[in-house]
Amino acid sequence: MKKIYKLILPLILILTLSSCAYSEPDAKFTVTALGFSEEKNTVNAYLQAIDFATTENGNINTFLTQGEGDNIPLALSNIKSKLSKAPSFEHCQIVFLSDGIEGELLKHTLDCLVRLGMSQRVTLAYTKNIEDALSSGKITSGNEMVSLIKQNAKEWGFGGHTALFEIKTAVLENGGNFALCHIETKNEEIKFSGLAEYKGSQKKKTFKP
Amino acid sequence: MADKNFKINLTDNIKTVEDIFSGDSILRKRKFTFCSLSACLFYFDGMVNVELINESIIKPLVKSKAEINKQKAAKQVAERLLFASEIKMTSNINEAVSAALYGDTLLLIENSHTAIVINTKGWRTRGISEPENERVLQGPREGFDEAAMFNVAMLRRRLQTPDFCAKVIRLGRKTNTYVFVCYIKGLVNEETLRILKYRLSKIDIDSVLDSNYITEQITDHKASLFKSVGATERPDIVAARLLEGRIALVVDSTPVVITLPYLFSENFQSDEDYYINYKLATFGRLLRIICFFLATTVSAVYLALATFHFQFLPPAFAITVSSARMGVPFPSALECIILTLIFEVLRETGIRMPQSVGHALSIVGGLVVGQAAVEAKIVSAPMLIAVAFSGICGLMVPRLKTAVFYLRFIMIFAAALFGLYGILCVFAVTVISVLKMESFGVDATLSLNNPTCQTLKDVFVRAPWTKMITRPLIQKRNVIRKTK
Repeated sequence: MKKIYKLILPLILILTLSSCAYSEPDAKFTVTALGFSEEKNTVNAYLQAIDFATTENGNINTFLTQGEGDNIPLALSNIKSKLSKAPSFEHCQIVFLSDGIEGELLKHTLDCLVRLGMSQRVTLAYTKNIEDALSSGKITSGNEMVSLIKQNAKEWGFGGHTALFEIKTAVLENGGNFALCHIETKNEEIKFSGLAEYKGSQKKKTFKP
Repeated sequence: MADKNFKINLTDNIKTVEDIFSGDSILRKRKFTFCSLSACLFYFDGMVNVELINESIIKPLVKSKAEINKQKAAKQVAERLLFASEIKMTSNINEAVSAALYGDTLLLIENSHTAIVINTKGWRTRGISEPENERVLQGPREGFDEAAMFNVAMLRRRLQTPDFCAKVIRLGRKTNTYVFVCYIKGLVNEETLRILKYRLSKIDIDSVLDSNYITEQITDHKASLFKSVGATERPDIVAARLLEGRIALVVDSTPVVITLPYLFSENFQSDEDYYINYKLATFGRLLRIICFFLATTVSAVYLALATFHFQFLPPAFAITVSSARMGVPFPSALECIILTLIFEVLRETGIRMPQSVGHALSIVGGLVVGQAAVEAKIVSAPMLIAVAFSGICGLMVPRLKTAVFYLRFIMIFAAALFGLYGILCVFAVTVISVLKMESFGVDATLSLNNPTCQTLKDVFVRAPWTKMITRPLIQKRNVIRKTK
């Protein structure tokens, strides 16, 4: 019997410490894009998720929802309270940062992304108007936006993707440089319009082609 | 039945035999007189060659005008008058009765306390046909039938060496089934033979109607999902295994011959591997090994990824999975278990049905029910694909069907409870149990414990015959199969 206990104990420890949990794939909203902006000391969070109820035959339909709060967790919490299912951030492809997400707020945003379990695959981009970018008619999901950015960024000799940990390191070092793709929205279309350069946690300038 | 002998009086002897078989209406008795002596034949209808009895026993005796000494009648008849190829004399009633029950004819003569047992076996057999479960595209197509004697003869024809031994024992208190222990002297592992004899001697059962009655009683790991005793219906396979130093048990009234010891690598070997080009055989073998892993893990891994480790799925696939799950009323785990059970039901029904019905069943089960279930949103398409693929992979390794069946369910339960961690735990336990397996004193994974080119030549790959220099190390001596 002791042998059985010896076997079961590590198993339970592994399972509990790894926060292993069962959840049905259709019992959550798959988030494809996120966006954060700040206005008058209020953080606005935008969440784009797939609406499986209307997704058929390979056509992905997404919906956009918004929440406000004094800080990023509160803004996200407001969004969650509007949703009928829990959002799943594991497949979020792109995170838009807008004006105001700088300094301490940028640090908090990056921390939040790590806590949400976002992988290194996530692409960070800068845009002035997140709502327009996420609800533009022709490009409907984060996946497609990332494809578009990468395609256009190639022409600039830029990969279109800066790994999350690289950005985090640059921000924490307080002086490191990094660049994000600059996205503009025009006539319900989004387009790659250059690079937004950050020094430490501050946005410095935008390079245009 | 007490050990009794025949008496000198023919009438008494006839009555004794009749009393023993009083409830048996297929016992035939034929009284006749020859050379002034009364005699009586006993045989079982349907088990003997009647023509042989007429031509080699009755005809020569009745027509004979020889002078017979009444005191030595049985001996003289056996030596001078009978035309039969095999004759035995016995005064023991049990021995005579036992022979009669196996198709021999008893000849009782007056004034003789000895019965003449004449080999007149002539029951009908199914004949040689290709085993349904072990079909090959290339190579011998003979299969064993239900008569052990003929089966041993088929082995003897392939192994024309005086070293080939076929020792008979009888098992089953009521059936007295003939079991031939076959091996090749000089190649067999003596320790394995000793263990086998010991285990056979411990069998105390009233009937042995199939080789599995013996298999389950002599196997090493009774609770294991993996076999430690092999079984085949093909004489060429048995001959090959005997030549590798193994032992075969040919059981009467079944075409399935037991071979032992059984190495784990045999599960992935196909009968055809040795008759086709080694490159193709190697590919087939690797495919079977991969398919075994896929058969046991695909549905469980899919379940774990979809429910516990959703982040591991590529985004596009994750979206497909979520989208397909919309509207399905059952949890993924239950859906997986139900689909696996349905697959097993279809497979089992397909095996038992006549071939024509089997095809219709495949179409109805696979296409109609499968597609209808997906369209009706009872199951999701990716789960159906995972379970079906897992099921098809399982058919690639028929020798591991028990292990595949149970492991698949265990893996699914582990995946439903603990995700990929559960699957890894089950996998680890399975690997440990396989590595610990023994078959009649021989390590079942001996090639893996002693990995050299020669020991691995017939495990993951099938080396060309020019490289098959040694036999598997089942026995420690006489291992050279081929000179370089």
